[in-house]
Amino acid sequence: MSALPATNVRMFRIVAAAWLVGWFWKAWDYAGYYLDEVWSYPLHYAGLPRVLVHPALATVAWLAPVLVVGAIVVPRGWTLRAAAILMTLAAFIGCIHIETCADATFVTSFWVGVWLVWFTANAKRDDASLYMHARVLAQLTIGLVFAGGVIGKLTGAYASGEALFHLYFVQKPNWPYSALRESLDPQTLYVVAKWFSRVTIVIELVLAAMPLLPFRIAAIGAIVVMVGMVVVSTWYLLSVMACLIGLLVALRFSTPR
Amino acid sequence: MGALSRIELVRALAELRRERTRGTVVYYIVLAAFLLFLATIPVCGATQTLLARAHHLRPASTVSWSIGQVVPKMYSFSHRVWRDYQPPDAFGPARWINHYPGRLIRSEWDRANVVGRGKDIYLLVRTGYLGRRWVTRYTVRVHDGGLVVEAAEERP
Repeated sequence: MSALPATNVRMFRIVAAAWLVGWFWKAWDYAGYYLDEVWSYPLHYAGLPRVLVHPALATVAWLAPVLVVGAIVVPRGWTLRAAAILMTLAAFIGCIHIETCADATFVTSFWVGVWLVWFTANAKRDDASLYMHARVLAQLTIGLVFAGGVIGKLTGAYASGEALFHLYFVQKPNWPYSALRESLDPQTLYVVAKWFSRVTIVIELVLAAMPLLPFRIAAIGAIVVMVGMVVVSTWYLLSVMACLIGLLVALRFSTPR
Repeated sequence: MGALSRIELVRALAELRRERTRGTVVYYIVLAAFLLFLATIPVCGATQTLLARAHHLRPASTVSWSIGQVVPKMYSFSHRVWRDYQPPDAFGPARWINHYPGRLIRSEWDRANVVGRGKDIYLLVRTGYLGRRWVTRYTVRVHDGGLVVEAAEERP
């Protein structure tokens, strides 16, 4: 029998399941890449250590989190801790390997993995202090993720809208950008892109300030905004957001006040 | 203090001062260090260069690469890429990239075609942030059924 508080097991299951959904969200595309393409046509690059270019490390790191399902099904103290460490390690490799490093999925997965390492190390506790730190550390994690985005956008190309004009309104093939291109003239499209860019900066700024906001309201707001970002951008973005959404859902709906 | 104590972060830090649980203290310090790192980006040239080099997959060291890679930087800095079968110049239409423009050296999901064509590919990547620029030229050579990549910094 598990000696862990039921609340903590439930929280782990929600966060880990959401993490796995994000991790394997693009499996349909990535399976062929990590299991075939990187092996059939290997990349050689002296700019990084050889191990961070070798396809075996990328393939193993991508597949290894399948084992986390075991901890979700059999929640013991040690299975939860082992799963959290495995998730964090796999995500860290994802961040630094050349075949995976460009995908923000691994960055958000890493930071949520770190939260899980902390949480599972304290999983036998069920005092109010634990849940307060759990909420605040999650808020700081969300704040960190969006602070990185918004501070990187404090530059002319984003303030003027030029970057998002090209990235979304010119280059994106999917709806609504394809429809907007057909219905608006280039000048109007640029004005829309400018305001889209500025609203994005403001929203990210609010999310970056999340550690200073009341959790119960901020969590709902952040979940709505992140789902909105997925809808407005691309469903692929769910791979990045799922673990963050799962973290907030677990804390918002599963912990005592 | 009355108004501040309504912020849960402030209450948590006060509680932490009382509890002094080592793992939790370390976790707060790590998060604070990374937030501080982010706060230096607009004002510190060294931080900007570290991140720009990460976007170009051209780190100064494995340590700086490892630190820079866990720093969240989605849709961060502006990046344009020119790609051709001969060394391109930064003129004409460029492809904009949200982050990590250096990733184009990988030719994801298209490597079979690139290797099959057998023609080397050249990329010019230009990144900008608050008036500064970083430029890298890449040569992607088709060799022995794979891709051999060389990267060189170029003065903007």
